[in-house]
Amino acid sequence: MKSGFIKKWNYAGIVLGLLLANSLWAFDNPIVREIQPRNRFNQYYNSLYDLSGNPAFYKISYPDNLDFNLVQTTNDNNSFRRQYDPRRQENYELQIHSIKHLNERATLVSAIRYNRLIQHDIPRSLEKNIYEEYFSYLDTTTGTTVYDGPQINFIYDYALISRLHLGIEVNYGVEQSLKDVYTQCEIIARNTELRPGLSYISGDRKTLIGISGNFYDAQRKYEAVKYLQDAFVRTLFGYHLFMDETPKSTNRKNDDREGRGFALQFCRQDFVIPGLKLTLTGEYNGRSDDVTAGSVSTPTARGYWVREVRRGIFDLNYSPEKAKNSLELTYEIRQTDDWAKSGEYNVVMLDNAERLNVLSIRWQSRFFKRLITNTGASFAVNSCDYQEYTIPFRYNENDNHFSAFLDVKYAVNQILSVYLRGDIAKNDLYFYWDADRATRRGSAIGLERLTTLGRLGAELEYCRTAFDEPHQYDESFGLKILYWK
Amino acid sequence: MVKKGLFFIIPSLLFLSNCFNQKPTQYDSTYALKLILVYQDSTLGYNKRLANIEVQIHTDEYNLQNFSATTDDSGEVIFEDLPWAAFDPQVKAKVLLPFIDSLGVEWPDSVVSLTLNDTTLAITPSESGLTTDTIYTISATLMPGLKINEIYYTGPENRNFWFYDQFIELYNSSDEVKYLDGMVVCRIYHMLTSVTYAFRFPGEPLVGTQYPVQPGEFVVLAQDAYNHTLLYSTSIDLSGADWEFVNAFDYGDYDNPNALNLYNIMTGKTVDFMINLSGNVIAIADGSDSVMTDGLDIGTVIDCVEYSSLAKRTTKDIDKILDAGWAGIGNQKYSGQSVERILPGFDTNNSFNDFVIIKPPTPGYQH
Repeated sequence: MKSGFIKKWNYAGIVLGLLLANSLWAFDNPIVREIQPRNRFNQYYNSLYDLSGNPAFYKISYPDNLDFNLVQTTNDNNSFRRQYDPRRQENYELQIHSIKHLNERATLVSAIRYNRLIQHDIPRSLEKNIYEEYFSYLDTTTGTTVYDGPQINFIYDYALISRLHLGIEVNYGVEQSLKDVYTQCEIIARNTELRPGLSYISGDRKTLIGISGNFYDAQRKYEAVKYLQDAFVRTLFGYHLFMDETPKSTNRKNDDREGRGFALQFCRQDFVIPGLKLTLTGEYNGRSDDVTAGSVSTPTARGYWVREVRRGIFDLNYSPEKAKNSLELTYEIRQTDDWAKSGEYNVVMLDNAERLNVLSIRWQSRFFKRLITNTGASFAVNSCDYQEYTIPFRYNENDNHFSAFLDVKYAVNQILSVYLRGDIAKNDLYFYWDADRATRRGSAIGLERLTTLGRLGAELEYCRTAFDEPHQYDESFGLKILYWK
Repeated sequence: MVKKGLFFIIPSLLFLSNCFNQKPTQYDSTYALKLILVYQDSTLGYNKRLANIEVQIHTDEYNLQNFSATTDDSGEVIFEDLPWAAFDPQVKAKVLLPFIDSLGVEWPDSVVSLTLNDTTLAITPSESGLTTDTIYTISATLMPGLKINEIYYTGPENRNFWFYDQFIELYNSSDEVKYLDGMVVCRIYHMLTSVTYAFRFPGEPLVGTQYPVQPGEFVVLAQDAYNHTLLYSTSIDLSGADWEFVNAFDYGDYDNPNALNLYNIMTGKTVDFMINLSGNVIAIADGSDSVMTDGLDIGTVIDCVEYSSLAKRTTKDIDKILDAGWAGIGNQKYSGQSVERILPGFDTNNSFNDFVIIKPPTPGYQH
């Protein structure tokens, strides 16, 4: 009875956790994986794999088999938005995910995800998110862009000897998009990430060390067609400088990206006292983007930019066996350095230095058999020094970010459980927002039910973001339907 | 074993962290441009540095305002803290210079008024970050005569590919009456040997005096002398045009009885005088050569303008002796913009310097 109850919570955790794993699967793999409040199995602590992304820790982190399917949609209404943001954004997603422990030594994770993203009334930008680029393509029209693309993900974790694991993770995706008005820009993108890793477990199985690397390779090709006077193409450098591309029948922009990285991990179970786990990770990741644009046959250099991220994570998790409470403290320090040079001249056009310090605390409590609560808070300070040189501009500020959440899970009976989650976040905004601060309030309600074929779940989400000035707000709705066994 | 592993791992990590291009040592907006402004004319005997003249520099590479400064007493001007880019110096100034007689003697009490224009197209930055260049200016009053003063070829703003309100404006920049009798207006595709259209004014070439153009007078040659704003509000009214192109083989061609006609003289051409919306050569010739199958005789050309919307072109479609540059770089189809000389009849035989893009078009008058 008791084990069944706990198992059910584990399943519920798996479902919600996989929803959160989306951010790891973003089409263009992020340069560093963000630490989520919940891991991909909705457990309120972060495993070594979650913290490090080392595939050689996968089997240790996730020891159970799983087949999981998800359909979800989200709808964001951006009443208040940045200059190049869409007025509304829809996302439809299908996800199939499988974790198989093939034998004592081998674990295989395979997943496929298909996304359709529709950005309605996006002004001028031909990028999916122009604020993540330093060399962007614009035209002079407002239209709707549809993105379609599958992504696949494989992880293979193999024990070379009983205490030494080798892991390989491959993420691959292709994506195509089309804008519905001239310039009818078409984007074809390809994204590949390879992450090899090694892990070593001590004889008492309390100390783990790991090393991992990553290799990233991606290309994007934008093809914009000249049609009318009001549809010509521009290249934006940073956020203030642009050039008009030569008016011709077809303008093309090419992004050639590559990246490398490595990471070291250390984990000690029962550190100082039983039930206390210490995790330390350090990583370096760098990426470059070589941008050319203009003629289809003979594009010319527009720019080259490099981003380098160094990150350290210190995580303490106190979770003694059979205890009703557990506590986790995480500290992250991250240094991000960007620079971008002109395509034609060997000069720096802009650079950016950010130092992020994040302190998070999470507490889990089981008040009684049917009720578990999780609560947590996070405070972050981001020191940013962004500078453009061509048109002199500097943003040198410390931005504060605060967030907190409360998650209540209740088992109604043996086959049905419900959960409620609320969160709040206050964020100082970057200079390209026309407001100083945003306050986000989110809530989610979900249920899961055991059926004869497996488990079925559904979740409804609502989120509202209010802006200090000029007192406007954005809304987001989400619906998820899940099936797993 | 562990030491061997470290020997392998540490160099590998160092290699990974240094696999990108090196960050440049120089930053943008540190470029300096020193210009020396000179008026040099061996015929008239001038070789002078020009003081107190406003110099503007313009770049097409970015959305930047023009930079402006004035030359000092030695004719030099320095622009500092510029973005690294190719700059086009723009000098258009009226100067008063002492008259120099045929013996090379300066007469300080007798001054000559000259309208000067620069001849430099673009200056690219040197790697040192400091570029020095001499800007030679020329007088625009050297070649008065009948000029192609404005060309409207892009069509108005519309979504139906409509461009039938094109026109060409002529201007007499000389002090004497010019006559249009028998002259031809040509559209040239590539060099004088490939004439696309040729339409002729009535009258006897060279000797006819029926169709005079007074000094300082504008003459509008419309594709169709019609009030096109009735069709498209963004278009222009050409119902008052002096002349219109008419092809007798084009039965649908509009013919305004109030406008005089230029007629097609090329056998086999059955359409109106239409010009390309992006780039072409327009020439007016005295009409003594009316056979276009072997091309247009260069000796008969009175004025010639090449226009092109494309930047960074390297090949010309007409001999440089007729036009050394391009008008309308950056002009766009269906923009409702025309190209017009910066001053009436201003002609240095380099349309890049002589013309500006204007909106709206100004048929029959100067912008």
